[in-house]
Parts: sequence; structure tokens; C-alpha cells
Amino acid sequence: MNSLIKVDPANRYNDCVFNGTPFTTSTDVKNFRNSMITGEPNDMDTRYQANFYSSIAVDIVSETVLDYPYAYITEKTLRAFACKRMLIVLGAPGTLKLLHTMGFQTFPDLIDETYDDIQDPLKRFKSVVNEVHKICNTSLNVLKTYMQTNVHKFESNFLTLQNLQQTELLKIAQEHSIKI
Amino acid sequence: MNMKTIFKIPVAVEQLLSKKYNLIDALAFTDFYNDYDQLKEKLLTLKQEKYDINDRILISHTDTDFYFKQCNVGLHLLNFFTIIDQIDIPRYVLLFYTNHFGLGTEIKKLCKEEKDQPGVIESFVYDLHYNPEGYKDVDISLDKISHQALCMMNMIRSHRYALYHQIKDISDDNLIASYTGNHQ
Repeated sequence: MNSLIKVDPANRYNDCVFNGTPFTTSTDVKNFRNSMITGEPNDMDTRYQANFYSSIAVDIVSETVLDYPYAYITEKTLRAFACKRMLIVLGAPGTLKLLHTMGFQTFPDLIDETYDDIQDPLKRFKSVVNEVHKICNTSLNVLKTYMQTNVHKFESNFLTLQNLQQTELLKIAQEHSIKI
Repeated sequence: MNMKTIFKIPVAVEQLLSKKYNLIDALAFTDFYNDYDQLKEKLLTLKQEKYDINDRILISHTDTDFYFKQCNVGLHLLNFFTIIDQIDIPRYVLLFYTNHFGLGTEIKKLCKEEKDQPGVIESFVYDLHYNPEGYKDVDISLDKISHQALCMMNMIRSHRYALYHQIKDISDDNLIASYTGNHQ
């Protein structure tokens, strides 16, 4: 099959924009895990929802891809809604926009979400990092007060998530003219 | 639930589609990752001289694809359609179920014949990413919040290396973090 193009599976998730830049080498990364994080990665008990989320206000989601032509949303992003927390997503452009079309609400009056519109992955990355630092330097009281006044959003997001399968099934049925 | 089954199309979706379509088979791209000989072999077993109007081969495309500047569609998708052309299976028989909210556009670039288009269902709902057994309604518990943020980085990705370097100096009092650097 000469006409097929193959790639090295070892590189399957390496966004080309970062290859070759000084901060991409693995040798200067030390593995670590804060003891508050329980369970193992991809553990079914913590994959979709985790108790330790109760200790935090904002989930910094490092999605599967950054340099990608369109939003690619996984359990990493949905977990913030399942745990009723805010989120900043390091991912493909248009991720928040897609979430909005599905009925999820985000928090633009606290977090500058303009990063979602930035097409250039490096510029988007820098914009996300700025927001991460800003949130980490915001007092807990400010974050808690904000959350208190936006409880309805967290509850709404949770319900949207809970009903997602049913919503999607209805959409498929409608688009394919299937009676249910 | 094991990791292999969560790459599959949810049973509820398959049951719904089977009310209208005769699902000849269901394939997942992840079953043939980079093994195009095996994929071709499988597709050959599904090749028929004639298909009924409601016959469908359901294809799950959940994992990420490769993109490079010289090609305006994903590499796996391009290879898949190259094989489809070689085997000569009509494209309307193909029904994609995917979490790539752009796959429909990509497929239109590859399948220009309007009367022979594959179907595409773009959806979040995958057992891989969505809990089919339901989510527990947790209390918001603002009083338990002790840290501003959480950041978990598991499988190795270049953007996570970069993020690691940008957040490593943030105090543990503000950020709960992990970096496990798994390859699998």
C-alpha cells in the first residue's frame, strides 16, 4: 500500500508547533503528584468525577491536543462540570464555543476566555498561562464569593452533563428521522 | 469497564441507529491504529456486490488524528478513504460516529460526489469521555475549597511539557498539580 502515509506512533500527540523549542524536552521534567490527588490516572473511579475537586475552585484542563484544527473535548473538560467547578482549558481553539453550543456555561466575567478565539497555538498557550497565573494569585475569598453568586451555573452545567446522552440521542433521532 | 470497550460507540446509540439502519458491522479506528493492512483485510470482509439503501457500516473515530500543513484532512482519515477507493465500497454505506467536531467538513473535502456521501454523527457521548452510568450529584461545598486551582497532566504531550515549565514555580498552597508523563 504505497499510497498510504504512516507516522511514528511515538509522535502521535506531539503538536508540531512546540517541537524543537527549548521547553519541550522530557529530560528536564520531573514526575510529581500532589498527595491531595487520589487514584491513578485513567482510574475508572476518578476518570469522570473525583472527590479531590472539592478542594479547588478552578480546573486547569490540559486537554489531549493543543495544535488541532477544531475542538476536541474529552472527559478532562467534562470532569470540571461533573465536579461543579470552573475551568480554564489548554486545548484547541473553539473548545469553549463548542461547550456553549451544547448548553454549558463558562465564567467570562472572572476568567478572560478570549484565549478560546486565538488560532495561533503558541499565542493561545501564552494567553492560557496568563490566566492560570492570574487565578492562582486571586484570593480564595474572591473565588468563593464569585462561585457563591454563580451557583446556578454550576448546577445548570451538571444537569446539562447528566442529560447529555439523552439530548444527543434525540438530536441523532431527529437528524436521521428515527422515531423513538 | 475496560479501556478497550470505552473506545466503542455507546450501546444506546447503536440501538437507536439500528432502528433505521441495517448495521452490517461496527469498526473503531483505534482497532487498526496504523495497521492499514489489517484495516483493509477487515473492510474486504464487508465488501458486497450490492448494498441495500439502509445498509450501513458504523465507524467510530474517537482518537486524535495527525495533521500536517501539506494535507487539509487528518492522516488516518485520508488513509481510510484511500483504502475505501481501492476496495470500492460505496461511501453512502459508511456512517461515522465521532467526537471530532469537524470531521463532517473534512469528509466533504474527500467525498465530493454529492449523491454518495458518508453519514457523520459528531457527538460528545462516548464511554471514553462520558460516564454512561451517570454522574453523582455532588454538593458544591465552597467551604472545602483550600486551593485556587488544580492541574493534572498525565500522558506525555508537548504542550504539557510547556505547561509544566510555566506552572512549576506556583506555590503548592495555590495549585494542586501532577505530572506523571505516561507513555501509554
